[in-house]
Parts: sequence; structure tokens; C-alpha cells
Amino acid sequence: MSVAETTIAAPRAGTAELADPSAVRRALRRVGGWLHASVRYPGTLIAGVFVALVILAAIRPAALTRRDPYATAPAKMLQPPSAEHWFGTDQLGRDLYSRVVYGAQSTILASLVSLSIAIAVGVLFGVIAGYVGGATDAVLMRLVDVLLSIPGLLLSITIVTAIGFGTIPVAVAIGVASIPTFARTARAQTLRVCSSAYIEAAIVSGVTPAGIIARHVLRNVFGPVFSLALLEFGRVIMAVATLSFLGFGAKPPAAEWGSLINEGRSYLMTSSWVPLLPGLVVVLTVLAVTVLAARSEKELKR
Amino acid sequence: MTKANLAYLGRRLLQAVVVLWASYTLTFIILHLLPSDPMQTILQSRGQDDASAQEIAALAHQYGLDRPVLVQYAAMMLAALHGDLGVSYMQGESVSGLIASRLGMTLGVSLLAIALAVVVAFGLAFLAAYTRHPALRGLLGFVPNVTISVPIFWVGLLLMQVFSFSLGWLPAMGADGWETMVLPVVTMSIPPAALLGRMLMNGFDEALASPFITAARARGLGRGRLVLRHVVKNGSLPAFTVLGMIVGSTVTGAIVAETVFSRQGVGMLIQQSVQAQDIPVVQGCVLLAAAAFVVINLAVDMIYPVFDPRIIVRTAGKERS
Repeated sequence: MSVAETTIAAPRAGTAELADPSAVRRALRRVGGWLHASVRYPGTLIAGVFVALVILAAIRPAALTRRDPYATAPAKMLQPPSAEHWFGTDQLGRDLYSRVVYGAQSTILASLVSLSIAIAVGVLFGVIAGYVGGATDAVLMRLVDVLLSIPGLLLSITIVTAIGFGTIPVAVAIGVASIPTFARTARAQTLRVCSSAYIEAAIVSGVTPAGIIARHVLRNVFGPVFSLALLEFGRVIMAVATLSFLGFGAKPPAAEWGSLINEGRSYLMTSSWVPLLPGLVVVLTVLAVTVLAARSEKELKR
Repeated sequence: MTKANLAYLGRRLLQAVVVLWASYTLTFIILHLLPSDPMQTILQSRGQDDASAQEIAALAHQYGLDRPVLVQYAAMMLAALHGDLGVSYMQGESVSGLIASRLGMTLGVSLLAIALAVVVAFGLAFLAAYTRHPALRGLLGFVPNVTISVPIFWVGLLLMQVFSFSLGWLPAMGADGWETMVLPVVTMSIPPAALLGRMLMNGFDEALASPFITAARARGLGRGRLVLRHVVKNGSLPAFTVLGMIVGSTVTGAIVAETVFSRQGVGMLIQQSVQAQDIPVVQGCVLLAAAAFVVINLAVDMIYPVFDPRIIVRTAGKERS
């Protein structure tokens, strides 16, 4: 915070009865900053609204559609998009739009589980490696680097071969493959923090290692890890959709974006909306998440 | 060759061997220690769920699964070094044979895709560096960032719909004739083109900002020749280092593209084997991909000093500290 902000934020004499005006002011300023940013960058606003809709679909699908995604109606199969069925119907007469909405649940859930695994394990390894240093650092980082010896999505595919198919196995597989990036970032941040003078001062004043990690290291690690998580979120969603498209995700009739596209493949020639519309939703979601991530990275850097 | 060069080469070679060993060990651990009962997997792959105890024991012996784990690990590693990648659970054929019969097709499409990606990426980056309109440059810079967010199975399907079904210009599936290769090549070229394009644009921007370009301009060098000769040569160097990553993502691209366009290549083999939990085939293919990854990275590390000898001193200093 600048000097001017500090003086304004500090409680002035006579206003001691107010319950911490500086915090309220800071919060208002942040909200104001976001509103200002969304007006100045309309693309970001659109992306934000879209992502909010997708997350709403993941949490409460019933809020976005009133139809049952599993209700088959063979008489109405393969109808093109219309006012009644926004995305048309699939080969079993099910409303494609509600299948996409419910599919958001599995896909986003899997992506969040992946990210959680990657962050939890990655930050744990990275912080310990950075803080303890020495042989522990070398061993932990070599272990993490081994995960990088199998390129690309192949590691996730290998894990799925071993542990079986479904939404959670896919999430675990992709999460494990994403660990190295988070471990490296956490370790770099930890090293940077630990070399500062105030850490030395804290150690000398008797703060326990756990206290140092909790109070100083983690707080500084959080920022870059959060930025990285936003960037990785888009990539993880694509990876989940890809593995699900290849048939390693949830089995039908479960609705998952990737498997919806795979099932619809056979109808591409006659009813192209069946595979292409769910795919478009995937594209837009990843695009929106990437736009948000890029914008927030720029804002955090300021 | 100077001593520093030899030391650098020696270090990289040793690193490559270690990474290859690590990928084999990791693959072995995942595929052999995670599944609860490999015999069950084999039986299911073959559709023999209700085999008798004797048949199970015989199969176990045939696949060498009745030996202790460490022996299996060592034996498989030795065999792999001799080119023997084991026997498929599902089809009983040799894994190396299966891969060899399909490798040609996948390699052909992959190499063409990478070539196309390089051409497109260089073209985009060159235009972005050459043009003076900030709007055009912004638009061109937008393209790689957008295409990175697009999943290739969707692009493949879209291309198939437009070019095969609507326009009827190209066949949708099958593997004979060069026409069947066009759509898969284009589809597979998109991720590497996006990645390369972004790296090249950053590299060119950095090169454009460097002092020696200003000096060349001051000496009267025209913009076209300037960009072509100096910026491209210097700005391309950082992009060279992602060649390994491009090869890695091309493997995934091959799996998806061959599934979408029904081509019987190694990618399709991987997809089918994973579906059937055919562990030896998956292990063999992953090992092959990891080996290619290691070899490409090693080649990049070997060739890079030819263009920028500073890297030898830089990495020597880093490894000593």
C-alpha cells in the first residue's frame, strides 16, 4: 500500500469506536477495482459471466434446466436445435442441453479434484523441499521430476489403465500429472521467502518452524500458486474432456462432456449438433477460464 | 572439441539415460503395482472370466507373472533393451510387432503435422514481427492463445463435418491414399503450431527490442531483410527448446486424431489397449514415447550450443552451485 493509502486507512483520533474502517475501505476498494476492470475489459466480463454459469451448472444443474438428462424419448430422437430443445435431442431422444448442463457437474468436479490433488501434494513437496533444503530437497525434487519423464497426457493415460475408468480415476490421473508444476512454483517461492531478512529475524525471535511456514511462507506461496491454478484450470478441463472422449471417463448413460462428444461421433454426418454443440461448450469454457486467468495474472502483478 | 563441450555432452548423455530409466521404472510401478490382480486383468482382456485354477496358473507362468516383482522388473528391463517389449494380454502377439506394424502410418502423419505447424508458426510470427500495425499484430498474437484452448477432438470433428460431409472434398475415414491424411495432419498440427507460434512471437519480440537490431537499423538495413536475417535467426532459438514438449503433445494428438479419423496407427493401438487394460502394450507404447521424448531433448541439447555456445558455460555454472 502506498504512503497515502496507509495514512488514509489508519484510524484517525476520535474515530476509535468504528470497527476497523481500514478493512472495510480495503474491501470496498477491491470490489471497486473489479467493477472498474470489468467495465474496462468487456471481454473479461463476458468470460466471467460464462464461467459463473458453468460453475452454477456444476453445483446446481437444476437451476439452469428443468428437464431430466436421462429421460429417453425414442420418438423424438435426433431433432435439431429448436425453441423447445435448445441443443436438440440426441440418439435416444434425450434433451442435449440438459445433458450438457449435467455434464458440467462431472467435468468441473473432476477438474477441481485434479487441481486439489496437484496443489495439495505439489505445495507440500515444494514447501518442504524449499524450507528444509539439502538432501531432502534433492530427493523430493527428483521424485517430482520423475513424473515428468513420461510426456504429456501419457502419464494420466497410464494411471487410468492401472486404476480403472470413471470420473474420479480420471481426476486423480490428471491431478498426479499436474503435481510437478505446482511443486516447482511452491519451492521457488519458499526459497525466495526464506532468504529474506525478516525470516531470519523471526527465527531469532523464537518462532517455531511450523509458525514460520504457516505465517510467512504459505502466505507468500499462495499468490503465485493461485495464479498458476487459474492457468492450469483451463488445461485440466481440456485434459479431463480428452480422457473422457477417449472412453476412459464415466460410462454411459452418465453425462460427461467428453463422453457426450464421443457418443455423438457416429451421428456427425446426419445430426452434427450432437457432438459439435457439447464440444463448443468445452471450447468456450476453456477459453473463458483462460481469459479470466490472463486478466487476473495481469491484475495481481500490478 | 573443448573440454567444456565434452563435459556438457557427457552430462546431458548421462541425464538422458537416467530419465529413460526413470520413465521405465515409473511405468512399471504404475502398471504392475497398482492393479490389484493382473491375472484378473488378463482373463478379462481375453474374455475368459471363468477359467479354472490350472488355466490361471498356466497363464501366469506364460506371462512370467508368478515370479517375484523385482525379478519381473529386471527381466523386463533387460528384455526391453534387446527390443523385446513383451506379449500382449489381449492378442497374444509380440508388442514390438504390434507397434512396428503401425508405426509407419503414425510417424508419417506426425512428421507432416509438425512440419505444417513449423511453417504456420513461423509464418504467423514473421508477419507479427514484420507488420507495423498494432491492431494486426494484436490479432495475430491472439491466434495462438485461442487455438491453445481448443481441444483437438472437437476441431477434428468440425473439420470432418465441414470438409468431408458438407463439402465432400476429402474422405472422412480410412487410410489409403494421401487424401485421407490431409484432415488428420491439419488437426494434429494445431497444438504444436499454437505452442510454437506463441514462443516464436515472444522470441521475435525480444530480439526486435535488442540493441543490435537498433544498430543495424541505424546502419540503414531495411525492415524486411532485417527481420528475415537477424530477428528470425536469433528469436527462434528459445522456441527450439520446446521441441521435446511438442513431440510429447504430438503423441497425445496422434491418439486423439487416430480415434476421430479411424486410422489404425500407434495412437489407436494405445487407445484400444488402455480400454482393454492390455498392460504390456500400454507399457511398450509409453516406453517408446518416453524414449522419443528423451532422444529429441538430447538432440536439442546437443545442437543448441552450436547456435548459442553460452549455454555450456551457463549450465556448467548452475550444476556446480
